Amino acid sequence: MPILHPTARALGRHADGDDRDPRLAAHLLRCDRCRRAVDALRSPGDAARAAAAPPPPADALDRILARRAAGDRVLLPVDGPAPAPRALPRRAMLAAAAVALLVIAGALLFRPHELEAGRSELRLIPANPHPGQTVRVEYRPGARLEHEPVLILRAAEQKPGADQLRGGRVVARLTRTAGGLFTGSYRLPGSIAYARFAVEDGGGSRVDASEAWDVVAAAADGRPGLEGMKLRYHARSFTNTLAAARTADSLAALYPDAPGAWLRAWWAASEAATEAARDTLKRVHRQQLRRVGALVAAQPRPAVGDLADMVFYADALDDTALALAWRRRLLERDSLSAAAFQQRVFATVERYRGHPARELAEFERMWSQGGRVSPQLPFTATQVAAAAGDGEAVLRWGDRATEQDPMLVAFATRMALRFPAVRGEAMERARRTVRRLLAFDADGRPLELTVAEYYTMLRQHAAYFLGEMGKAMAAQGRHAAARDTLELAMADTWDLSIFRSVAQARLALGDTAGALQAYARVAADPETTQAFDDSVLAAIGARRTAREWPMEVTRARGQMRAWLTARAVDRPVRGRLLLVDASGARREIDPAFAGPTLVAFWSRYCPPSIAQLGQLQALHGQLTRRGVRLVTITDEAPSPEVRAFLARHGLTFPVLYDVDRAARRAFDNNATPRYLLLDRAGRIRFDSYAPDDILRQATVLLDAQNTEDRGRR
Amino acid sequence: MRPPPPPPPILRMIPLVSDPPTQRDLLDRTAAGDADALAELYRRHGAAVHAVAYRLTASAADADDVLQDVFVGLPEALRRYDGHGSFGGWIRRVAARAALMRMRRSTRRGEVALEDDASAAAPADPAARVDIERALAALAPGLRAVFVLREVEGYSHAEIAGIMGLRAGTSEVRLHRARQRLRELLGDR
Repeated sequence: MPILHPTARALGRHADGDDRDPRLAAHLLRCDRCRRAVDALRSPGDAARAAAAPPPPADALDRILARRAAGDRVLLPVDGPAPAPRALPRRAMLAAAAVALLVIAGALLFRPHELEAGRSELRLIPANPHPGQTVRVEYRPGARLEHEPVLILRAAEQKPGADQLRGGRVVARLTRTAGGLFTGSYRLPGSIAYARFAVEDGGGSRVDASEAWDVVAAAADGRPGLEGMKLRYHARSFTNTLAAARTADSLAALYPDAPGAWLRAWWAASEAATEAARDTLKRVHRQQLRRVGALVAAQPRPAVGDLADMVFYADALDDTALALAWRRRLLERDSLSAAAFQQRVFATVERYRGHPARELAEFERMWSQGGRVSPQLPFTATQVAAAAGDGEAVLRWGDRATEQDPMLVAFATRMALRFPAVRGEAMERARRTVRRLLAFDADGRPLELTVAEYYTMLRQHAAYFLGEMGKAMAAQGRHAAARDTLELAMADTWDLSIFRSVAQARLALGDTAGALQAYARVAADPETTQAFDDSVLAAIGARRTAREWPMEVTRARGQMRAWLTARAVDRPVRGRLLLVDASGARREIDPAFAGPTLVAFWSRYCPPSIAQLGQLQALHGQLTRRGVRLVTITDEAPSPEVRAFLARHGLTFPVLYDVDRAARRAFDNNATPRYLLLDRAGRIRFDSYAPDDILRQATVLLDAQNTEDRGRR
Repeated sequence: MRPPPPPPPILRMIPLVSDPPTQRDLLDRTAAGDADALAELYRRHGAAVHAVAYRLTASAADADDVLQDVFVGLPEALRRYDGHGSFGGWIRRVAARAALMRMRRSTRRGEVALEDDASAAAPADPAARVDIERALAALAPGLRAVFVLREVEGYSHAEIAGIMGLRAGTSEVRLHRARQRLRELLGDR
């Protein structure tokens, strides 16, 4: 009887995994031919599964990110079957394409972050280039720079171990492409571990910068480099502690065995912790300290940087004995390294505390052994010399500090000017400093500042030194020189202590009228009390001054107004100020008000901002009394944490929460602290990053308001 | 080297040890436009997406285009991902659909026929044994798609029918024909 074989289709189903047919299964047990047929059917599948597909192209991710950054979007077939082809008449196809474009455009327009008009974006591809690699730069401008034909990219670059970001240098030209995107390229120098960027117009009059625009040089294995990540952490810790905490977080994830990563994780986390949590945190970190310590100790020749980080980490966790042990290990490993000298400086300070002469002797010995590799040595020695009252040593160590780091010249000069014994030489250094400042070194310009802001900053720094020199000259009895120098300083600052010194110098030279004018500037200041007027009248002679004084004060008030007005702006608030109050209720702030309005942006994650909150609190009362409205805005949602923060710092001013970033858009602001003073019509008239001049600025606006009202009457 | 800055005054508790970002976190961040998150998803799933696309299209250039499109479109597409099933499975399915769309577009341009297996390119010498990759490339796109989705990606015929817009029976028939054709191409006769 012939054997009845199953059909080819039935064998195929079986090969496909369908073994529900018991008769077929029984047949296959007996029939070699059909079994071979099934195996043969299965073999292409086995082979296909075993065959490895080639890997994606190495640059695929870069191209994907570049397309995203250029605004490219793709509608993917997520649901249902891929549409089968349909023959569409040409016109219908065009109409469909137009509808699709509208849908895509609509989707893009209503993406949440696109709602932020004026927000710009800088992309660096790849984000972690290898040293020497060329990075593609793509910049999508916000409102500030969107109409420029060409833009300039500036970079502040840091080598491993550098301490803080200096000014930026021009590194690329960005040219406009279709669609308004600007592109260019930047080559990461081989020696640079970390770089931050800003974009500006050709003249440096409008600048767009963000702390997030940076690159970390890749390590050989492609990870963001350890040194670059440490530098990113330090750069952010000065501007945004939340961003710094995230960086520390990534650092520990990327380099779980590096003591430097855990040290920074501890710095970032420890202050955030409550007392109770801090103990737990410390316990966990001590485990990490032991773990990474064992790893470092197991290395035959550990890196100097790792040893230094172990010293700091043990010290930070209050394990003094362990810190000392690691310090010894560091000194044994390389006693002439910068890190070793730094530790020797600390050890010297601890050992000879209260005996500055012995400290200085030890520092001299270290200097002769090659201590110049560490800026820590001259920096600390200058301070110790100042504390010891040793002017000569201050001068000597100040010069050494400046030699190592030219940025320390201001610190060194300021220290030396305090000592009468070396005042002449200190003044010579101050003169050199002023000349250097007024040479306007373009590469020293910080990334965030426009050329004009930078020049103003340098002139103000120079004015500080001129003021100090003038005061020193006055103390030496050189009144004419003091007066001339102080008058130079007066041109670039509104500093009450300089006005007083000018007045005294003029008085000493018999120039009573000139003295009166300088004193009037002090009296015109809104913070000066009536008691000052009385003391001036008493000093100069009430009979003579009674007539002239009110006129001089009025004139000085006019000078103050002119000085401030020259630094004023006039811009509208763009868009509605929709904010959330402490109860979570939405509130709209009308920029126009019965009087001026101070809008103060602050953040509890920004160290400079936190440092100024006390001043803002003091201003709260002073402004309110004068009829100025205070609107303080923070960049998060109301929460018990914010309330606790306000209570801890004794802050009672009202706070609004920029939950939807409406205020950031309305004021085109990415910074904290930032102070915008609005006139009563709601236009921005003063814009500053420190609250020092706020009261004066408010007085100018109030005066203008009063004059206007009188005119109407 | 300056002394390290003092502990910054962080006022928020941050996790002590950072776990790698969770899939959900990555998906949320990618959907919100975070390029770093997109890059991480690429690192996790890029090779699988590329492999599906390569097997379906049998072309390195087309596979690269599909890979590009899938990840360029991913942030917007994620808004339609409901979170059911594994994300890896979802993105491979999206890649398969994108690859099939691409093959159909090629068909319209007259490059290859997706539906018509008769035009399958045969090797120059039918007797020559070719490796599986070349055999798959020689298969008609419509047969290759079913074969790859079933044999390599492990979809059921019902799922293949859903992805390709076919009936399940058609998928079975195509699989059978694909296997027979591959046997011929591989010389297993």
